[in-house]
Amino acid sequence: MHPQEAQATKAMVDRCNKCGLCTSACPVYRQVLIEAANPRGRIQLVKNYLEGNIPLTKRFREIILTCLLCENCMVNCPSGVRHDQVFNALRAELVATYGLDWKKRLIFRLLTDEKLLRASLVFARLGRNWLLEKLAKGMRIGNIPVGKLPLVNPRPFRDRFNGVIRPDGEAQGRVFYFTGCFTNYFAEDVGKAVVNVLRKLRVEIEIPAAQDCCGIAAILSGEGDLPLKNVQRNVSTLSRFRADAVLVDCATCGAAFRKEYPDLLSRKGLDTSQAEVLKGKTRDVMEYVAERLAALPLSVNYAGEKIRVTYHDPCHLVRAQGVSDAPRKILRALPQVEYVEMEEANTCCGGGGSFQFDYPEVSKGITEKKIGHIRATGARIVVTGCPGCRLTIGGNMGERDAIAVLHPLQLLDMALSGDDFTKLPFALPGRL
Amino acid sequence: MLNHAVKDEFRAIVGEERYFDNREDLLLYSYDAFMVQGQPEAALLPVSTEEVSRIMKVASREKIPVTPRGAGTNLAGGSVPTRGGIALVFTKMNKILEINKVNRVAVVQPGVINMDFQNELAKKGLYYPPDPGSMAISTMGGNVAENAGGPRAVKYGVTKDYLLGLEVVLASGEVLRTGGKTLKNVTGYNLTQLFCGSEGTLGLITEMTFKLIPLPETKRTLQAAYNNLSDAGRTIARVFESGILPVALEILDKVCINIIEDYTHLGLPREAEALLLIEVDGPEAAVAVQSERLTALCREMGAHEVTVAVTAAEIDEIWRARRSAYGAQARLRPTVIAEDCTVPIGNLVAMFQEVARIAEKHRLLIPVVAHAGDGNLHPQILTDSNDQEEMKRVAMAMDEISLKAVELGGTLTGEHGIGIAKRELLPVELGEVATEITKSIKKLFDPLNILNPDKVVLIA
Repeated sequence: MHPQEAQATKAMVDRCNKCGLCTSACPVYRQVLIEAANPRGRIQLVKNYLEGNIPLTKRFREIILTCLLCENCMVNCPSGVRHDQVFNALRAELVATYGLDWKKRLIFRLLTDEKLLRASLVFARLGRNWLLEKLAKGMRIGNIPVGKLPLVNPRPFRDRFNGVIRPDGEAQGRVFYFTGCFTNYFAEDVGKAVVNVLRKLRVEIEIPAAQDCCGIAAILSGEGDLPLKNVQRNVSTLSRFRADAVLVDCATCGAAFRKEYPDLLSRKGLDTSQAEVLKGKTRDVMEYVAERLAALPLSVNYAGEKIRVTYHDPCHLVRAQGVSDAPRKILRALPQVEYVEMEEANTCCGGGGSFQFDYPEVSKGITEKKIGHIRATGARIVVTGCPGCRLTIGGNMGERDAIAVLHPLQLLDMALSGDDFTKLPFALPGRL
Repeated sequence: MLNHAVKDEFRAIVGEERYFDNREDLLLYSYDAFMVQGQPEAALLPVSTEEVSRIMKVASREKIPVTPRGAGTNLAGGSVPTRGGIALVFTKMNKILEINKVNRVAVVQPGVINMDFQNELAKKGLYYPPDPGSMAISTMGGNVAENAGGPRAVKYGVTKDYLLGLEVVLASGEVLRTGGKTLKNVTGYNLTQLFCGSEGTLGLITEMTFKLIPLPETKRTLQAAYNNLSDAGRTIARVFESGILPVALEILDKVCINIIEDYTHLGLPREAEALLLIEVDGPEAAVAVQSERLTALCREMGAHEVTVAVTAAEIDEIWRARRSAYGAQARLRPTVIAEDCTVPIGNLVAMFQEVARIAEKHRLLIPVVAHAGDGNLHPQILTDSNDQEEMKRVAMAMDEISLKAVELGGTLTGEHGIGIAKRELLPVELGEVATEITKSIKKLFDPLNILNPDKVVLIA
């Protein structure tokens, strides 16, 4: 650790009074009930490391990594400890000491090289279909059956939607749409919904074909160098773009632009001024749309049956970006929807990026609680603004749960066509 | 020192998954919310009375000190191992065994979290009032061992007022059952209450039976601002004279109001010398009348501003100020030490003035929040544990505050416990006779001095 960073981290951990109020908010602690899974415990361990009392052992590493980075501890800390900064600094230190395992190294290498990523996903598409039919019906990755993994888009989204998409008539605004990897390669339906809704808002959309992965998966794993190229490229192109907003449909890309980029650059002692500009311009597409709901032609005289919908708050939206009202405002405005709040809507789904694959047992318990809360609402559809959460929730849903997992804008898009949702054939996560 | 053979014996009792003797995990069981730390040599997480009993049989045979622990939120060092040995962690023994609406009792294991218990009861229209500040995470076993209180104590009392019976594993490993499931029970000595507040020094609680009451229908909260601390003090006296029994009656002093306002921007009256928060609960018609009478009473006593919160959101807004107190203070300096002295309500204002005098004398920042309705003050000493010189002044101030409370007819600690923090002061309040009796009781239950040694009462 840089002496300066070590000093800042030490000052941060010294603020912890060990009161334990973070504990109640930690989904991992609530699952395993040992102090090693407690945010307070991790902070105390880091403090002892920085004071030279304890080395970075394997157990130390495991304790630091058994964390979803959901930031619920931070929200509940009366002393203002920035757990995210402390844990990120330690994760970087751990990567410097232990390196990354080959699987993660491979994935981050792919994610930080767009050409390589594109090429490998062409193979992945063929491979996945073949695997599914021939071999892997019973296989699981973490807790998720392979058959429930999302299908690879037939063509990358940005091959079909790119350049400037102009609305009919005079443009009411101009936005840059950063699609993220997930929409580009897996969730074209979300991308299409975003474009449809923005067009109905009569907004001019620019989608450059060439975009780089936000790199957050690598950053949060403590690998700060590999994604640096992506970070700097994104910061320099996106911050210069003349538009009302840089829109994202992925909670995680948004968290990268609004939070992790300035943090990473300042950790590396690099200039953060452009990153601050990007931070100011970035909006989740739900925020942008919620502010302009009145301009959308939602049918007020819908007389069909309503469908029950509930919303899950992704960590990277509710805490990293403070977005929680916008999706609810959209959902409550849909005439076809009966919106129901679930219990503990803002508690982590247990996915935590690669956490669910590294610690499937812990993750499973947390996800089961979340799915229990979803079931208790009686909702037919659960929506959330994060592809990671959709994967975790959908992938762990039981075979008999006839609950669709979607992005809120997909519902808005359908509502704008005036459809009766109860008659729509939603793709259920239980189906192959 | 734990030798390998003994470690293996413990490991065999609880199993590999619930046994720790590696450096990192032991470090994690070396602290609670107090500033003193001490490492155990092994941490065990039992899930049954039988496991606890087997552990104690080995511990007695080998004379190994045992420090019981729940969520580790103790503010007096009660869960810190001072002599190595075992940290006995009850967090995984966390089942609610019974909630009975007809008998109005619940039976729970020690690791059940207070808030989870409350939430389960609320679903059935039942209520367990004690609400310590740590209730979101602290365990019922810890609550009983410390006889935890909370703001609602004014009307509803503290943990002991709801405790009907216990199952306790003694130092020898024998299992003792006390009390039962009835409100009335005068068979034999009241051993149940002896264990309540014994801070883990007499036995290990493995099961508890609580009395429950119906969940109150509704509530109202008042906030009253005063230009004069003694007017606020007189209001408290008049509230009780009026025949209204509030659920909670809290007071914040000027230093505290301003620290909270700096942090929260809630719009609190910065110029006020004191702020009173008063909550009443019960049937709608009753609380409506009570809150009107209290508003008039506060104004009559000199409050220049009175707000009444009716909806859940408004009530929450008022309590936000009080809830933010700890956080707002904690952000000013790296270390916060929460004091806990308690005086008869009539001496509350005098105690406030004494704390201000002691703070000035030792050049310390000590804002005060208090559960005024029960005379329990929490002077929060804001300091930096890295500053040796200041910590000396802090230690002197802590002792002076506690002793002054006793002098004013009060007690060293209202709800945090003696633990390590106040064990040297214990004889001052108890006097010679009670101190000797306390030691005799400790020796009777724990002749080898292995149960949470060095806490509450020092055995030579």
